[in-house]
Amino acid sequence: MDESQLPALLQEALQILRAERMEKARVDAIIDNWIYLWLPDVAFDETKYPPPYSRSLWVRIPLQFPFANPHGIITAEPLNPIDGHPIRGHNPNHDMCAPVRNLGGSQYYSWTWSGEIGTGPSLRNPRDILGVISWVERRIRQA
Amino acid sequence: MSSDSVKTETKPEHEHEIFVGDIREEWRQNQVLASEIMVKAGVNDVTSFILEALDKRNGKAVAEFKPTDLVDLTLKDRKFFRITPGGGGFS
Repeated sequence: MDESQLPALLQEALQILRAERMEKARVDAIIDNWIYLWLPDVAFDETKYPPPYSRSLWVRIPLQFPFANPHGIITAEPLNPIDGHPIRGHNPNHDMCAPVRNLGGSQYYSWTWSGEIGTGPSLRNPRDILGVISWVERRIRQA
Repeated sequence: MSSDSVKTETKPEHEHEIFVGDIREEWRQNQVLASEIMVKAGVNDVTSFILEALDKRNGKAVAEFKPTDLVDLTLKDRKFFRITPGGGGFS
């Protein structure tokens, strides 16, 4: 996907992400002011999830990043905690999956940056994309 | 995952070298508030962040601490940390 039309700060964030955390991260869709950012190796807690402990998924990042917050992740398979408890915010085959459905995306988790769990910090810098990845991993661990 | 504050054993204090991301910190105390570690790493408002202990540099999180939690630097896997946004909700 041509990323040259993305806002400069978002392009910078993607460069930082690839250089420092996930070299093969890529943008798979740009829809309605959001990008669907594919993360190839997100860590899953082995005490809470069965293998594989590194999985790929998409996180929805606003074009206005870092001045707007991520919202939602999409996975190919449902998150499947070992104890079998339901995951809050799970929407199977939701329309939000449509931009990456042809790539296998089928499970939408409507997770917000702030809400019942707490208020997320203000984002200010393209480098905050690294914190977003940690946030995704923690949300999955806490889900 | 939980705070280390329940640990009661007393050990002699000595210098602890830790890394918060790439930032190196030294602590003389054995037990340090997570907020102090985060502030020293440059976070101004720690209230919406979580300190995560990693199994290795840039590794996976093995414990997490709210700002008010005590971190026992004498324990295993208390050398590498990262600061993670702590909020969240559902829509």
